[in-house]
Amino acid sequence: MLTFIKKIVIHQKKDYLLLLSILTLIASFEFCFIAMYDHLSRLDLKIDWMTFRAIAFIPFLTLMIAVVLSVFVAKYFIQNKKHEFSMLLLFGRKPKDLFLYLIIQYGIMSLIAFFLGFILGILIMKGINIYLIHIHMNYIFQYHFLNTFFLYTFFLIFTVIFILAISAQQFTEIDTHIIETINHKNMQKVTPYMISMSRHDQKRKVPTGQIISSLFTLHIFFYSLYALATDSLFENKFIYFALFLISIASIASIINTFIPLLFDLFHSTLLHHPLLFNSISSFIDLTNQLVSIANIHSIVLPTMFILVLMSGDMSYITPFIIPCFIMMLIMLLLCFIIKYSLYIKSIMHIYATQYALGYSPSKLFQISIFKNLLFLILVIFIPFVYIYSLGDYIITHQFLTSQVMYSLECLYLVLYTLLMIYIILKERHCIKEVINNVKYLNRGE
Amino acid sequence: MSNILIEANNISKIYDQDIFLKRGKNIYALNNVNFQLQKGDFICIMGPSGSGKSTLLNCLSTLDQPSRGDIQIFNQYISQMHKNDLCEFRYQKLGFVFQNHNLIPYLSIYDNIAAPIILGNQKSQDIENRIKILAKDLEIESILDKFPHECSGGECQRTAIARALVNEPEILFCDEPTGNLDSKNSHKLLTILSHLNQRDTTIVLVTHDPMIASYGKTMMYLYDGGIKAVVQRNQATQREFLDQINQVVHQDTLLYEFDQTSPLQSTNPAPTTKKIKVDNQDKAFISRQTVYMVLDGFKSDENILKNSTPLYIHGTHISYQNVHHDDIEFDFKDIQEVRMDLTAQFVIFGIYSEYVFHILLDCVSPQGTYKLKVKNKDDFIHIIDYFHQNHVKVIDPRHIEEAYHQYPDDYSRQKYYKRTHKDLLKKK
Repeated sequence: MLTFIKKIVIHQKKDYLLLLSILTLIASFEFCFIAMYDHLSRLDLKIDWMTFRAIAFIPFLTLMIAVVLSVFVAKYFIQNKKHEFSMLLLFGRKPKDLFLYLIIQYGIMSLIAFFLGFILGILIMKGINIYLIHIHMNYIFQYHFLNTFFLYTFFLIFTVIFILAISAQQFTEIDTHIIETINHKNMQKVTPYMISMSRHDQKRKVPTGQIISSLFTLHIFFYSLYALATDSLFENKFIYFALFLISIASIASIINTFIPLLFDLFHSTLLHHPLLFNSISSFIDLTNQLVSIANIHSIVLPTMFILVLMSGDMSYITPFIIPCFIMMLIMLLLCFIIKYSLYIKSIMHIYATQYALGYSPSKLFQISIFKNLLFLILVIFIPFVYIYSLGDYIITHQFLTSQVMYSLECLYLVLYTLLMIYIILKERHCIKEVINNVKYLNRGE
Repeated sequence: MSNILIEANNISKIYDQDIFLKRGKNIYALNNVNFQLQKGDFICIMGPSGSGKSTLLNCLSTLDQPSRGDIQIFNQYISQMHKNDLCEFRYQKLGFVFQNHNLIPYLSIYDNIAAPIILGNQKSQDIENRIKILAKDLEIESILDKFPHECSGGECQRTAIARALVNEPEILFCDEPTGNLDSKNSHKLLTILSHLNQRDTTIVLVTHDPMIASYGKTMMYLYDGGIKAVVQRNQATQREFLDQINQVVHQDTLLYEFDQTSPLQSTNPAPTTKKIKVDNQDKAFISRQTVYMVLDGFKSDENILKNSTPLYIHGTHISYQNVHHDDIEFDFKDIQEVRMDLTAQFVIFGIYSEYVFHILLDCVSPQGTYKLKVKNKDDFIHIIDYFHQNHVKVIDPRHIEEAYHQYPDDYSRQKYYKRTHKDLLKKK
């Protein structure tokens, strides 16, 4: 088995190096968050319990995102190896052997990433301290080295066990659907939206319940956003926090249910507009495939700023929010890119089919751009509106300086603009590849 | 109006353009194939794996471009059409059924069928009526509101056929449409295709299965990128046609070993070699065949000959194969006059592109006109001399003969043509 693994690694050196660098980056970020947490637990702060929890929750939240990113990386790794695994199963290997095969490969990489991430983490922490002095924060993160290392090791073991538990489920799936996996016939098995208004039989009905709940969600979103960004409720932090949870849930609801409902309601009108019809339907598919990361993204980032409001102490929150927010953005972007690279593979044959049916390359580009614009508005822009609204309130009440707040907002815009450019270019490249190669239409050519 | 819908002249396809540099020889997916599709045809393309069936289908259906040769579809050269025009053309004239149905997973069955028709901005009521009629014919009415993953393989394949037919295409291309179906569903699908063909839809179907091919009117057998046999059904029953197909398929393995010298002849009970009946060109369309002329006693260019249809001149006896693979023979003494013209073709050689000129030759006889496109280069001067020796009147408005005398090598002659015949370039 080791010889086989060696040959595989040599032939896929590029993929393994990419994976190793992502794992190293995650490990280094994890080290930083643990170091910050350790630093905070050592401080003798004369602040109230709520403020302390709010500050402590920031590195904890980012640490959880690091776990999510690790899971995505593992899923990506297994997804790319599905064909290889199914072939091994076909040759008579037991699922247990494959598990061992995965542990050897992923375990070794995690171990290398652990040591590299440890070194890089120390360097990043030093960099953060230098930066904080540079911006005259007069704040230094002092952490207990051994304690942090112990927590870091413990966290790595926890992450690896968690990942292996998730992988086991994927192995069972490969074992059960071995023929589909070998023949690349894994068809999407999720129903994208409920057909009720656009049905073509006697069961057609107006989805009154869905319409009312969607309108209610929209109302809740705008009302809660307004309430959160004004003084009226802030005094009662419990109500404020409850309101925040409602508004966060409403963002997720808008992303997941509102557009599919519109598609169902205006189905016959959309049939006159091929561009809209195809863009919206493919957007529904995109959000279905990226649902986990889209929801995490739209919930986690606003949560960070709510924590800033909860902390109520600028001198302590600023050193935490700046590095955590930056690292969080980088991790979320990586999550998007990983999920997106899996998504793009699944849509290649769809573009190829549409091209064969008579959709011109320019029409396909338009569909792709319109779909991504919808994605930008709903998944990227709505959380930004949220952050921006809270930002004004944060600056007015001096929870953060305007310089820090605007810098973070700008960083968000810049990084997500880059992400959108990457997505649009990637999809453009995918369309070009598909229209120049018939292999995406016919099996095995 | 001609009945010819698609005409392929000497098409070749090489997937890896750099293969010549790597291995010192080209590997052809298609090698010098001639093909003609007429209205109402039901052609089944058969052949072993890697014989070029799907490649031929892709080239004919405008999804892929041949590396050499040209394809005319509804009298238009596809190499001269823009990608967007090809898409519009596919939308209006062609329908596709693939082996893996290729349904869009996030669209309902109704929306999948509607996917091509919505490009035409039709009324939603019209779209619905059209889809419902098709769904009823194909027995998929009850699944219109389901998604592909909720349907069986047979239902998905029938949906793919409905999608292919929703625009009422003139030609239906099917690439192994029964590959994923059981025998009952396969029979159902082929019966639908036969009915469509009876209603004037032209069908090109790729299959491995002789039984499936027996539903067609013509079977074309491919081997190593070339057409090895063509079997016409004519008045034969399906059973008889199947026997004829089986004869060809069963010879497959022996065919290649023993048939290097003599190509497999058509098993059509009708005479295998027939004289082509050429009508007056004003009344009937006569296909122009691309040939390489081989004159007795003169050295021919083996490289061009290898990838061309040869036209042999023995004394005054001339023989070649037309695009139907019929053997054409005539006596040069019957030719009253020869008209010479030029045609320019835009060719891309890797990063370099250039116009290449070929000679068009019309040999006028009392029966009709033999139209040829000549691939000969420097040796064509011998052919011109041959015309003069036989006292045939040569009409040469573009002074091709003069160009041959002035510029004996092909490179400088091509440059000369480019300078002096700009009207041909503009036409492209």
